[in-house]
Amino acid sequence: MQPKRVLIIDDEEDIREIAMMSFELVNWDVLSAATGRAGVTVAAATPVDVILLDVMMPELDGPGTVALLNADERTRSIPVIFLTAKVQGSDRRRYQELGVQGLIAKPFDPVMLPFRVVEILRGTTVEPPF
Amino acid sequence: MKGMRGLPLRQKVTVVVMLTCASALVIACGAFVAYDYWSLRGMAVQDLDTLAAVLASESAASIVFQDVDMAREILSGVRARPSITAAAVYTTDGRLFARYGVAPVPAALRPRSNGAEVRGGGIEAFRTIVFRGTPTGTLYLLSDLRSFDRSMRLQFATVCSILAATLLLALLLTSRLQRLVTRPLVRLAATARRVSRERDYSVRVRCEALPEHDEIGAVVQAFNGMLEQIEHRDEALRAHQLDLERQVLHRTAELRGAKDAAVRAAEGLARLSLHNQTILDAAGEGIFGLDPAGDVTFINPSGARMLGYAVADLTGCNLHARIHAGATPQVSVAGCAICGAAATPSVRSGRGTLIRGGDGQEIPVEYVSTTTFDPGGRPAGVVVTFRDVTERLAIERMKDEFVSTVSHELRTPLTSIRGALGLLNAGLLDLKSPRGQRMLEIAVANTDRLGRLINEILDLEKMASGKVELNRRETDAAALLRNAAESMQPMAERAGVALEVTAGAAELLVDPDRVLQMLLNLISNAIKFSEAGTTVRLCGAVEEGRYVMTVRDQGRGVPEEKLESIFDRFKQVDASDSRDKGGTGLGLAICRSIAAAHGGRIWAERADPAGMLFTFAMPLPGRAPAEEIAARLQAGERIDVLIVEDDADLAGVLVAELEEIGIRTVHAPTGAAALSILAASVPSLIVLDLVLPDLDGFAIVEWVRANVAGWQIPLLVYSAREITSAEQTRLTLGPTQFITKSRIGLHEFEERVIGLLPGARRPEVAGAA
Repeated sequence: MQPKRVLIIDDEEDIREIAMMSFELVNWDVLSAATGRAGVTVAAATPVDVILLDVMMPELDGPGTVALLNADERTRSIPVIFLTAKVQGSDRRRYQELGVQGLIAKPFDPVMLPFRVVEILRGTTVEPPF
Repeated sequence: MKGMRGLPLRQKVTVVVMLTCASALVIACGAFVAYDYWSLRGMAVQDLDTLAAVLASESAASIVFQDVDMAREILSGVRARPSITAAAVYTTDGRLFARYGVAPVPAALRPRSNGAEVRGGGIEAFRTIVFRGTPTGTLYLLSDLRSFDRSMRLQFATVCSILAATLLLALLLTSRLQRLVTRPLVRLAATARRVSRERDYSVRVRCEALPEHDEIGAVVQAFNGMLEQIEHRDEALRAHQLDLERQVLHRTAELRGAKDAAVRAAEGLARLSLHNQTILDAAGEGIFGLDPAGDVTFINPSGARMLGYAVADLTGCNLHARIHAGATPQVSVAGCAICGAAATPSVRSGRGTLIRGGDGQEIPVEYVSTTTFDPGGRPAGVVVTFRDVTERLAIERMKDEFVSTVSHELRTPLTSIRGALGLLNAGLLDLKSPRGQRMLEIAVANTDRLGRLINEILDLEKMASGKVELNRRETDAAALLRNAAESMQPMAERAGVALEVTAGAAELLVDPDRVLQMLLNLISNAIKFSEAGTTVRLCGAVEEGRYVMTVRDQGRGVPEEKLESIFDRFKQVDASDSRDKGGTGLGLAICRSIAAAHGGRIWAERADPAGMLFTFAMPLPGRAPAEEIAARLQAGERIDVLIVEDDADLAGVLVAELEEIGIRTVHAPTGAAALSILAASVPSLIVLDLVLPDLDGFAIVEWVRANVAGWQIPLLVYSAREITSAEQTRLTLGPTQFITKSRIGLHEFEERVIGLLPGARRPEVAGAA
């Protein structure tokens, strides 16, 4: 499955910008949102193939956003990949329980970011998704 | 004889000898006198008879011749014999023929035989007068016994004289000679008396020249021998007695030693027992013993409290059932990791949860369960020590969260830098292109942010651990405020915000760099959250002995409930908002640390009508608090401090320090002592150690609140651990401060004590130091 459109939800503007650029460079459509709530709205309005979701955000954090996405018919089936600096073992297990597709640790290599996303979605990642 | 028995021996001997002599002499003399009596009387009779025969012969012729005169003549011949009182001549027919003498004679005389005899008081003699063979009459003579009596009297007197002389001689001799016998005996008796009276067995009866074969000599020697033996025995006895006494003394000493040792041991045991009880009571950890059925054998107060009971509630009850109530699956006592006895000596430890009585809350605990064995080697139950780790888990969680937050905060700019540089480095972006330029900007800005963040985290850490030395100098408050405003002027201008300064003059004793850092932080915050066209006001003024600085903006402000939490680390109201403006989330935390380090306080309020008001209040330099107190004491004010502290050393130092400046102190080493002191009088200040061997600080504070009329006493609470804000609320009386022992030096401790005294100019200090 070749993703066409990716939604990046992160409260850090700089990170959004870099992530967007790394997908744009491989000609993906990129949407972005600064808060979880805004991201859910975007995802509900525009079909996206995968969501890159920051975990630590003020107000509504990553897991909260996942819950919101799951609560909406239109967004429930969209694969979610966490983009997070919190990558300790206990965090990884917690994320897995949330039913997200995988996890990409910050700091990430922007050049490789699209390929990591594809690997995770295909289940062919050389690294475990968590 | 009876009367003699009581006499002394000497008299007795004398009496015996004298009696013997006297009786012998009396018998001898009596015999002699009797013999004389009889022989003399016989001689007198014989003599008279002879005289009668002579006269009869002479008078025969006169009767024949009837010559009375001649007869009288013959009869008168008896004149020579005065003792003859009468003489008469009778005829044969018994007629008185002639008579002589004065004494009457019989008128007639019956014929009688010849002879003389004693009759009445005299001797009568009859003699037939014969003439030529023919009796012619009878001669009669009467003699009295006068001469006989006289000679007898003389003889008696002689005999008596001899008797008396003899007895006198005998007495003299006796009194001399009796000594031979009695002296040794008297000495013997005297010695015996002395021995018996004085118990002096060393004396001996002197017995010079007493031959051994003499019985008394033998007695004396036997007595001396006996005395010698007695003396020997006595000496032996005395020696033995001395030895015995020594032995008794020795034994007594040994016994006393043993008793002392026993008493000491008992005291030691009692002390140990008390010690153990105290340890049990004082232990912060819960300690209980269970028998194999899970019934409580003992539990300490901490344990009971942690489990939500009083010790009395639990005595003898099945604790296993209570602390695992509702556990699924139900575990038997034997199978319980905490309550079950092991078959072999072992110690189990681990984490578990127990059910608290009352609210039924699960409490996480760490436990150590040790199986005890009876002398027979059978499991006797378990002794369990446990600790409620709720707080520790909470702290661990907080720490984890903090580490996680910090790492997140550090990784965020790093992610941007890494991403931006990664894209540039891959050659996918032309450096000169707008996108390339944008990436460089991101990298640079985030590098700055990362650097700032790291500095602030380190700064804050240093502040929190008290490693920052304030470089206090006399500083002009107004100049400081103006300096801060000038520094922020460019930022204000960029934001279109006006900056106003109203600075009251005052001389402060502060680290100006730190205060400036705080002010810049507050002003930059204010500018960040201000709309263009609004004003940020910076004020400084002296109020109630303090210098108060305020920074007021007209922005949207912070919700009421977050006014306090914004001073926590990484607790911005809206992180994205602040980060847009370059904040790190640590600025206010640093401000609070700086304020506390200066003995001041910083807080936030919602400004009227809109915006935020940050206030920093700090003490003005003046006389040192101790000097001030000393001056007040000089003025006659009475200040007494109750120090509730079980650590005698720390209490001693505090007492000494406070007493030195004249503050009266009362030291209570236990909670109970503290309560009895508080019941008697209310001190000016209480210094309270949170953890005490019997009661804890909470119990004391609760007691004071309930039982002391003026319970708003200044209070300084300290403990080895941090005191949470919920606990602070429970621990407050009057003006109350909380400090953590490890965080504070003794000197500052004392300053706090002094600063808290009623009427002292108190620095406003928030929370723990």
